[in-house]
Amino acid sequence: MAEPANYFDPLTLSKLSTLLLRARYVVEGLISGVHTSPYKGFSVEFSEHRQYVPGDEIRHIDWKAYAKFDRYYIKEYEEETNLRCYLLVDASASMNYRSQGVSKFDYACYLAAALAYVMLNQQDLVGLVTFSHGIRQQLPARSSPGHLRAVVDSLEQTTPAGDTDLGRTLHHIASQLRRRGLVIVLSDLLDEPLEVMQGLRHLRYQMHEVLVFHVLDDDEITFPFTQLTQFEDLEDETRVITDPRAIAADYQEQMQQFIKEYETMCRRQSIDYTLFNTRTPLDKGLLKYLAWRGA
Amino acid sequence: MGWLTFLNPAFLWGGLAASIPVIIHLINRRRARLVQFPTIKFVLRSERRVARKYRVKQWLLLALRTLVLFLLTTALAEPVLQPNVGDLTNLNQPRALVLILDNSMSMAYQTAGMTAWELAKEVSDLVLQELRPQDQAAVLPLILRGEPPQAFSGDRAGLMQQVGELSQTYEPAGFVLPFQRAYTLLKTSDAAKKEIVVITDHTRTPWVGFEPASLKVIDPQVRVTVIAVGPTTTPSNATVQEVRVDQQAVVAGVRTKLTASIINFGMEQRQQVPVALLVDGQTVDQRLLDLPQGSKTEVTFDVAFEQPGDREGTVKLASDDLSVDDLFYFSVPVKKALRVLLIDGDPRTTLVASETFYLRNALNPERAFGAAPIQPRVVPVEEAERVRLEGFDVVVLANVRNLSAALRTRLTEFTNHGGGIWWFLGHQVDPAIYNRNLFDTPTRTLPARLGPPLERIDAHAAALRGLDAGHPILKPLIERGLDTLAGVRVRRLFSIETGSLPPTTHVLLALPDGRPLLLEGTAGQGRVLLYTSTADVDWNELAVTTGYLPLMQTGVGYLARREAEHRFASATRLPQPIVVRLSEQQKEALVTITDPQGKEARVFPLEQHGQRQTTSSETRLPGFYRLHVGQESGVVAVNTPLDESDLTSIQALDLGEKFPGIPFAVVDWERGRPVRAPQVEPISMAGWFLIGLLVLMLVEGVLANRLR
Repeated sequence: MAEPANYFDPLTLSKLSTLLLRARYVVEGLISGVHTSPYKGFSVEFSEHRQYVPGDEIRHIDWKAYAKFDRYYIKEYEEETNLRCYLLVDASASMNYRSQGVSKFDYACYLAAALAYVMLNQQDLVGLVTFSHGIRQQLPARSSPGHLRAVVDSLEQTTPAGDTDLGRTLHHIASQLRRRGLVIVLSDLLDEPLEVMQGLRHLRYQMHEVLVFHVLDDDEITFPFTQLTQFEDLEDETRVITDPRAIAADYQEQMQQFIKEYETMCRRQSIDYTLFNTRTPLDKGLLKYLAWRGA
Repeated sequence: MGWLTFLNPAFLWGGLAASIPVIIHLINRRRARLVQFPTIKFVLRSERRVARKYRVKQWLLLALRTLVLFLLTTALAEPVLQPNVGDLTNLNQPRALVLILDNSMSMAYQTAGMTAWELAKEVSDLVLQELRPQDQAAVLPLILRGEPPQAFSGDRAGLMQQVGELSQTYEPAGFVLPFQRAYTLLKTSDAAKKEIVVITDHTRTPWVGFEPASLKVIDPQVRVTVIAVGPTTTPSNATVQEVRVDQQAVVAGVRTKLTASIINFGMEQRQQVPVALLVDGQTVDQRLLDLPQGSKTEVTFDVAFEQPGDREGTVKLASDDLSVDDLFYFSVPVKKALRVLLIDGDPRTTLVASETFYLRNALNPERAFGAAPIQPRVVPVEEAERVRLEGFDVVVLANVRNLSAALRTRLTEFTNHGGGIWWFLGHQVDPAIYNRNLFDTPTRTLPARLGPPLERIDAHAAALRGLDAGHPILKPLIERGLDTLAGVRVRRLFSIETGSLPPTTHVLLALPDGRPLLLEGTAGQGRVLLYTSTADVDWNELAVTTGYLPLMQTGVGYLARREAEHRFASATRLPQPIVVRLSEQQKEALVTITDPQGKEARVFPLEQHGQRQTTSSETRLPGFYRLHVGQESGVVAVNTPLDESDLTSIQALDLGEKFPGIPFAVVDWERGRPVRAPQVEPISMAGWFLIGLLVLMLVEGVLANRLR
């Protein structure tokens, strides 16, 4: 009996024809596994009463309760407004690296599409920004059913190219996003960490909630090369011949330090940081989001 | 130290395998795969931080692997360490060895109580002891008595006995002939390995002029090993170069000056060296001399020989380490007296008016006929015809008108035996007759052609010009100052046709205007003097000057001396033979020579250059050799060769340059040390190479493991 396909595996997903289909498989698969619906509290539903305190808006006073109990109660609702989410997908050349069938960019796209799928099903507004040296494409945040198609098309039409200037790009995006919302950054963050953090801090300053999905290839983390290799940079023409066995330990140490640095700095800025190896199943990203959404 | 050879040199081609790691490294470098990688900045940083150290280790590893392969192939080629000298044990291949043993005089040099010759024999035994059954050798002394060996011998005991029977000589050595013989002998051998071992001292002399390339039989495959014994630096050594008797013939009872030339061949000055003169074994004089290094010093002894005959003189230097040349032997023929025949061409009734009056008084002023060193006898021409000239050393003819043919013949014979003639002229002399009978004949006894007499009526007293200040006749006068010949007025003299002077004729004294007054020439084996004026005061006033007496005495002594020297033979140096010249009367005489050890041998005359002479080949020892020619006897001194006294050492490098392209080695050997090569078997180095290989592989393994 054939084993059922694991639709959280990026490699399996890459065999599916369209990104939309991939997003749907991920999301539906996740939902069917959870049994209880994750869709709650986004409509205008009553939640509880609480006693009026000075400063509360008068229009929120439950007059019927006042009539019964002769006290002012405020009527609270689960949610009053829809979430505005911006997906920032790094489309620089460095995202094009793949050690197996799925590149970092592919992985980021799967994740972004799946998130958009979930959000649009909840009537949330989803916007998309792809960037490399600057903003390459930008879709405004909308919640229409057809917007998912636009997001997916935009991702599918984007080819990673150009060098990264993540810090400056985040500053630029932060200055454009006037209304506060959730910003999810999907990138390998291969830029100067301090500059990147400046950009993220700018988003936080604009009162955005920020999630950083740090996407790295397994090769970048484990550096598994053994033969004499000539490494060439994806974004410029820097080349170096070296024996990977000589530098593997030092490289890994640098990489761990690099990741740790981002983790630490994000924590200080109340930014939710998550590292994604391109071999990591995609449900991890969705669960991370849903966990955040449910918090 | 030795040299490394290989039993299986073909395996050395495997040494190329040592390049395999390098080639692999280069191929890998070319095959480095290209990877486009995002986090290259981390790679670059790591490369800068750690790869340099890693690369050094990689190079080290590469070198180790190369060395491992090199050692492996070298070990497979079976390296063996060959000893340097006298190597008779090279594997199992038979060897032919010619042992050239220096038995020249310089080997008598003493060091640490032993002579270099004794050391050389000791080394010879060591070399021969190492002969294996399949080896053959021949012993060839540098100075060979008899026939050279014609074949090799494998009999070690016999060869060692040959060495033991060899004796040292007092002769000079040269390596050309021994090497010629050695190469010729080696050509007869089928042995795979051939070698010439020379055992000698460090002296340069035998190598002077030695060029192996000039030997037609040279074989560049033959290994040459020189084992040098004795001190490596030039030792101190002095010897006497010559002893000469100054000026006059030696007459018994007359003080004679002997000058000895002493050479210090050493590199250091020697001070206060005692130098003694011995006559007939008795020390008669001794001096202390400073001998500067590398130069000659002269010392003059003033000695009177009491007895006539051949006196045995010896100059003895203080003994040094080469003692055989510290004695210099010389023979001095001492006459009882010089006998001078004065033929008076113008005798008068009064002595004072006679032509020879001044001459006779000058030669024997005390008129002591019994004991005077010069004994003149005056005869008129007529009587001279009957006098036996052999009984005289010098004949003086004064103003003789004419000489009979018989007297001329006897004078010629007299000069042929070394007798001297002194011509004085005068008014009776007809230059045409003199020239015809005495100059223009094959048996010339007059040294110059006479011209017409010159009148110098108004001549003033003037000083004579000595034209050869160093001449034995003039030297004593010049040392006293030429004023002894000043104030001489020559009123008349014969002119000389200077254009026809024979090459052996020289003008000794001349007037201020250049006219010759005294000339010297040769006749037969003797010397001739010609005074162009009279012996008395008829034509000149020389006879009444203070210089007259010494001039006459030294002149007579000079004329007589050669006769004394040439009576039998000249002194000689080893290995030159004694050559005895025989007169016509002696040609049938029995000639014997007695050497310094008292061994008598008869020698036979042979004809050479139209003259009968006897050559003795029995001069092997320095010392006095007694000659007996018929009833006569004499002494000839034979000395050591001067070249052998020069102990200047030759450097190994200079020696090596004499053997370009020839396997060559020099070993400085000292007593108490083994001659390494003959005693040591070739050492197989393969085991050491393998141990080295294992060590290197271990290091390589550890290093490679660390790099993983």
